[in-house]
Amino acid sequence: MSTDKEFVVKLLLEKAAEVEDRYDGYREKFRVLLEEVVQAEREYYLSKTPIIPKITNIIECEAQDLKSKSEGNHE
Amino acid sequence: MKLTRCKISNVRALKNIEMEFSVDAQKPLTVIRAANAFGKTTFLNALRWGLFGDKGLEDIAYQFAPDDHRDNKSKSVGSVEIDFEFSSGNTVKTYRVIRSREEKIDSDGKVSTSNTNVALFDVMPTGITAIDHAEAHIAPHLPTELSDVFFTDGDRALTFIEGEPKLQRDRVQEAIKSLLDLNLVETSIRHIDRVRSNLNSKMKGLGSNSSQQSDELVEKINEYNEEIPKLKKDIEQQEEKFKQAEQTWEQYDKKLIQALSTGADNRKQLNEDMLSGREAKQMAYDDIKKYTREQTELFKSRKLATSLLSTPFKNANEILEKLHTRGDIPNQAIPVLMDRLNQDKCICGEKLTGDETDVKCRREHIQNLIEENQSSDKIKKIVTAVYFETKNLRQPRFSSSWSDDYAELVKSKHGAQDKARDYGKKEAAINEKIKSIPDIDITNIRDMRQKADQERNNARDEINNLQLKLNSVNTEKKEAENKRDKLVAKDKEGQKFISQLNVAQDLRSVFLSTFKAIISTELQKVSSEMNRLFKAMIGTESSEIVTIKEAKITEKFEIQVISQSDDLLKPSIDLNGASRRALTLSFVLALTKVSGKEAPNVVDTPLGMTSGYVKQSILNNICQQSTQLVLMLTPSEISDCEELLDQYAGKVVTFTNTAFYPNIVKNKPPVDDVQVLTCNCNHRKDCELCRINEFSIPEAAS
Repeated sequence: MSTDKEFVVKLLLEKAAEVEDRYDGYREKFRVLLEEVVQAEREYYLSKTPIIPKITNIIECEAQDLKSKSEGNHE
Repeated sequence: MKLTRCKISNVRALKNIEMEFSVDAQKPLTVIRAANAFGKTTFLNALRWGLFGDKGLEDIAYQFAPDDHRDNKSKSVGSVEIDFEFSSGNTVKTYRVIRSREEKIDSDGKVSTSNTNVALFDVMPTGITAIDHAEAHIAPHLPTELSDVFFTDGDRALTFIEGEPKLQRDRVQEAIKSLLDLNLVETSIRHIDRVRSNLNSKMKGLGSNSSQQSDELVEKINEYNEEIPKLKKDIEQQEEKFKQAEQTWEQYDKKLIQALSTGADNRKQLNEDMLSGREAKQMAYDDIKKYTREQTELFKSRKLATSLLSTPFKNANEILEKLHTRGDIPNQAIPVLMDRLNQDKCICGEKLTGDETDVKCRREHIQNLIEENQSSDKIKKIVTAVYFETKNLRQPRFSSSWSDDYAELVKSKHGAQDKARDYGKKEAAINEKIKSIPDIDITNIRDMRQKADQERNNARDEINNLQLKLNSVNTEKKEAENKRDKLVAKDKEGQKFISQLNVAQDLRSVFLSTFKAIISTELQKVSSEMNRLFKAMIGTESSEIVTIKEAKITEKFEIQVISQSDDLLKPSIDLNGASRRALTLSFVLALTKVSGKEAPNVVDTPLGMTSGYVKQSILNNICQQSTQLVLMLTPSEISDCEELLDQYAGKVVTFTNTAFYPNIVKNKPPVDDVQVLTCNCNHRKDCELCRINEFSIPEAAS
């Protein structure tokens, strides 16, 4: 059951424009991340499956990219 | 989401009902015509239960078993089957939910629920396919909290504005939180905070003594992240103020010029002096800007570098020239030696192929030469680059020195500044003369212009202050981030956590600003839309419009109605029944519109207690605002609204409850037991089945 982008997702994506572009393309990836967090929250609401590991995992994936890009910049 | 069809079996008097809903965008209304006690509320409860399960029922002990089942049967199975569709872009997907409940009936007629089942199917032209975990699929799109907003009756909706104030607030808050996803945003922030807290604990676990200091820095960075958007917003507001003041100033300046130019000769002269002085002052300012720009460029110029570095490079020059003359730079040996090896011919002309000892010796020697040169090649490359890059520094070819150019620019800039100052003084003197003109119009215009000028200056100062503050906060944030990074980046593990904390922080700030936006901007949108709809519904003909100024939703989630004299009205006391109904429906519709949630509005007896203009206006507005509307209307509610129903109703179904034969139902029903039967008669016609005694229904239009 899919619908067009929800109200809250639209707002979050709008607000994502205020986030610092930590590397070229970060903001775009961050937008996907936001949608993943909303999806995880929805699933949590329904099934009460542990949410903290899910969000941690989502953050870790993006942080890996951020770390490697930062290292690239320092070099 | 739209309802397309439903089938209800053995839910009280609805023993076998099957009907379709209108999905026509032009005629979004489906009408269930039914007199009181003819099954409207049961129908609403059945729909709520079908879609939301037991949570959709107001009374958890609600029993389904029809009365005659209690008399004759040991069990009764009630079921509700609903088809609904979701559209996404050009795709429309249809689903079917089937919910059934078995109730056991003991010998005394007491009923107890024994078994409830739910199944969800994907409905396709080729057939239906079962979907696992039905509730998990249904709930995201039909959260229980929405049942009160979308599937309601006129009286239940009134609880948003009637009863215990705290309960009213709670209900309004719950509805807003559900539709505007505030709950989700709030819990997300909590969860992200827990993840951040875990990450901070892990960083502490790295054994660094500086972890506490790092925590403090993280907190500071969080504060900066909250402060920066606020400052940006303040700057935007001040810029808007500045723009407005600028426009006002220009407007009064034009008026002043016009007033002076049409006055006596001395005024005309003043006007001309003012305009020419202003033009000259502007030119002086332009010159100042130009010289400042040139000054900046001069500091970035090669000439300055040449001027500063020529002395130290004097000694280096001698060494570099010597190396170049000796042929040490550039290094050309490696390419030549490589070329010889490739061509299998030594520099001396001897061959480099074959197994002879002297050939091997020659090859080995050339290889050794290449290796020796390679070790010194890097240094030679750098020295070569320095030799060529600094050639200009060693041999400056400028006609004037940098310091001469700079002195000339400073002189010109001072000249322009003096001019600007002089013109400023002249302008002040002209303003003084204008001030002394005994003309009330000119004085007023001048005062207004001065006021706008003051506002413009204030806004400019404020922008500068805020910008300075923003720059300083940005710098402090960068410093804090650098410090934190240094503290934690003692090892790779620390780097990993920094990146994770940065991402977590970004997530938190976006969710937080979204939360604030919902509470302020989006809630305000709901409030304004509710006010607009409410006023449209009650119209100007209502006697109450004289006293009602506006309806609004406060940040504390209270629905308030304000009188023209700015008194706070109590809806339950100060509004009549029709206005109360209009207010609650306006709230529901406004909330639906702002949230963008597309769901059918199913309302039982929405027009009770209403009449005349307000009744028609409520109906007209809810029809216009809803993507799909299902209304359960009594004949008296329909009365005077026939034309609107002609316009908006895509489907009309009439319920006839056989229990009311012969008192209300005129003709003998085709069944002997008590149940609700349906026909497709509308407000313009009746049939043998639905004809009733107590009131007449208008005849069908010709």
